[in-house]
Amino acid sequence: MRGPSRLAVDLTLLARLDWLAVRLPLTGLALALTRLALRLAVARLRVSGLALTLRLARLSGLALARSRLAWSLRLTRLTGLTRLTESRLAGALRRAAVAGLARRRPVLRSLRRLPVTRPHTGLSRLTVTGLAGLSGAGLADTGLAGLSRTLRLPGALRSAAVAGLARRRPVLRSLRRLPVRGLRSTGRELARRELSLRAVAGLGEAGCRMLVLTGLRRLPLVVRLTWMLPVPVRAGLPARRERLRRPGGPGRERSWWGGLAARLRIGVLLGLARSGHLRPRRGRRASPSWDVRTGPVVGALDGHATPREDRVAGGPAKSAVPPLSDDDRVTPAGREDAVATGGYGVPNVTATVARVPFRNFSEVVGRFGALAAIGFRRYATYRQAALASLATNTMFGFLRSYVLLAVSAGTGMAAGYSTEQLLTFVWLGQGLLGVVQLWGWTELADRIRSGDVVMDLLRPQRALTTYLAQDLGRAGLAMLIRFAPPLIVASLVFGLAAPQHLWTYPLGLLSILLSVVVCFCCRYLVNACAYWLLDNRGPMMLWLFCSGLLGGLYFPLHFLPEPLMWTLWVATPFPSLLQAPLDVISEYAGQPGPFLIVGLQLWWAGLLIGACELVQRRAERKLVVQGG
Amino acid sequence: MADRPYLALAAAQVRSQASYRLSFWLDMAGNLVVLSADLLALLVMFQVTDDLGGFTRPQVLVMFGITAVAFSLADLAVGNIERIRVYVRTGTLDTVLVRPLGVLGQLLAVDFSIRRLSRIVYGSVILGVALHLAGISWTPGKVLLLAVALVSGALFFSAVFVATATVAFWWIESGELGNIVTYGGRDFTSYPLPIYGAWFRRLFGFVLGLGFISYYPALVLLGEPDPVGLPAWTGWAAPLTGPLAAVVAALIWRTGVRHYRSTGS
Repeated sequence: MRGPSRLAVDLTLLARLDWLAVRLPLTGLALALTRLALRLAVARLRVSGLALTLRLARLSGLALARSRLAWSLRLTRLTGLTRLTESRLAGALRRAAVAGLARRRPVLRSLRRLPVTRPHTGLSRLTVTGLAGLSGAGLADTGLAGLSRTLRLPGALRSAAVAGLARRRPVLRSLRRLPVRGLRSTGRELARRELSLRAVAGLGEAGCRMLVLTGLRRLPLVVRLTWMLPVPVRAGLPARRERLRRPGGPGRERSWWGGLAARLRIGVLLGLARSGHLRPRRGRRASPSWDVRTGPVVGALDGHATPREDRVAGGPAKSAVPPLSDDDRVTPAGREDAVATGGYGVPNVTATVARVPFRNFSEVVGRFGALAAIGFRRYATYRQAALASLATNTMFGFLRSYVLLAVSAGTGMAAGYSTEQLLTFVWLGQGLLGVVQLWGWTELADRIRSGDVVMDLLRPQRALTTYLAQDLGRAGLAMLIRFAPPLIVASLVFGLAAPQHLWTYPLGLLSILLSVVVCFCCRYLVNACAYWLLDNRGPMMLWLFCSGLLGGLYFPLHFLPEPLMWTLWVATPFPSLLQAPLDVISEYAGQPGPFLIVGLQLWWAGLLIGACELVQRRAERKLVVQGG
Repeated sequence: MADRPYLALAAAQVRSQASYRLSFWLDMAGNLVVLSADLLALLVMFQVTDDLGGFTRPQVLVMFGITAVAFSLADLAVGNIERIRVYVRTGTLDTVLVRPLGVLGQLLAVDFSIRRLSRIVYGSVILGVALHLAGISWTPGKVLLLAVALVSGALFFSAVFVATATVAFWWIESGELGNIVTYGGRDFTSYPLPIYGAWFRRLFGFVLGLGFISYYPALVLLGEPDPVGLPAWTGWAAPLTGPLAAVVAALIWRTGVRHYRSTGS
């Protein structure tokens, strides 16, 4: 995408110009020139055409207009004006980030290039807030995105801290860059810092670990906070505690009751955080109210916490899927001719029925289990086919074993696998082939082609859920009847390597489960191409090729050059299909280790399920059932 | 010419498949992609090791190439006989039986799919490159042997296809069982015989005769002795297995057709 880098350049330019506007002597000519330049910059933004960029441009333009309106105030509140613009920019940036359109790198680079000088200390805040938003986007957590929507520093920091659970590095780095000494001088800034620290502290252990890691602990205030912090964090700050006890330390002056009040407030915050009540308030929009003058407790609660009564009393039970709007309903497209709209007394047809509302968790699990059981029973009837497949798997197991044995014949090792591990790899692969079912699933594509897929949409259950549950049931059956026999044959003929560690068993099972999910999603996506193409032989062939070759069925991926192998692991889901469980169970010693493998699989499973859901939703809007 | 009706049927098939042009070319390309997976797998093996069972990369590629060409030829000619399962299950074989033509010929002509032609081209390219890399000292006899071996191999694979498909007359849901000797046979013959374990080699290489398709002719072409221990003239005699297999397959086919019972519906 060309957008982000272009965006970064434009933003930098904009910020520079803004900075100039603040810095230039107050001559009319300079002002006019600056305005012109700013307009040009905004125009350039507009040119780049993306909807996001346009929105950004509009926002920035707004900010600049406001800054011109505030021109008279500039003489007295120079920094205030700067901050106003900054906060606008920050909001725009964050939105861009939350929208997920701006990649992290370019934005970060542009932020770094912003001129950070003394009157611009607020820029580091901008960085923090921007980052918080970015991490939020990375997490794809709407709750977080909502949280970072407010422009307040504590909120941003808190979301940064929450996001830091997943991606700690960038947030930490940005926190470290906050100019500590420069801010300490003014009392108001200090109060804000205190507030932010409390916000971080309000997160409990996770946030507190950040405190230790960031260098912010140098502030004496934090030392006071440590009284309220959990033990592990306190253990990380022994020296600071000493300093606290020393009379006349560099702590800020504060009366004893003030300290007590602060502790009480922090305690409340901790409690709220632990009970999960620190939530964003709905409907609060970004505002330039950067100046946090409210007390710490109010500041933390205002706009972030919702009392429990409100939530409980808030209307009917939540639905797992939002109620259908008119856009979601599939109506006969095109002209409203007689046949489509009631020629035979048939009104517009809603192709997707309302789903069963979410009532409780066990009900959902029960429904899923029932569907899985259906899948299990359904495939249990194909006994002869399963037998034939078993024989085929065994034959190919022998073929691949002998080839790999020949490969490792010279040294007894091949790419880090011992001979026994290679054999285990091959035969586990043959056993798992039937479990993940790489090939031969065209059910969805066939149903789309024949139009039967409409039946899936009429069920009070999302199509994806139905198919996934049934596939998991099928995989469970395959684990019972197709996994073990090839392994037994192989252990009689060759002798395989049993796992050495006890934890390999649960981890291996988890890995198999994840590979089934990943494989299902890939098959689902390939099949779903039929929604658009009808004839999906092309994607199917590509899938056949990639899944077998890059999935680790024909040879271990470690036979490939290192960079290529890593690219495959990180950038494609294919190694998660077979290579992942095979490496975990055969206890391959090299990289990536078993835990990283399972992590990668988790990541791909989540991503692909999301993709399937997205594709299904898009497809439901465009589906045209063939024939009548 | 007695074969004219068959040719007419096959030509009709070709015309019908070529009428969807984009789909046709995509299929041609797709066939190549699927085939190249095997080649890539072989090449990756040689990334890790220098020899397989005592043979270098060009030498193994010669065996791979002979197998590829022979198998593609068989696949083009009779590969679609696999569909007989569908005919038997649905009972549509009846319509074929009542016509005054051979059953096998009709089925092959009706299911002829021209798009598999790309595989033959692909296999030939591989074989040509491999033969060039292997640095063979050509004699007229070797050229003749190569040509005969290719035809014989194609005949052998065709026989395997027909024989395995005949199982459908007794066991409709045989599923992928036939793949053991068809696609499994192809993979078996793509690699030199010495890499396999003794019983596996004897069963598939000698009893089923798969070893004579590419391995022994390739040995003669390369001028290598046989590590397994068979005399040097085996390679020259190997192409005889093709017609032999065809005869056996024909017998099995005849028996199978006589055992056909329609669905009755």
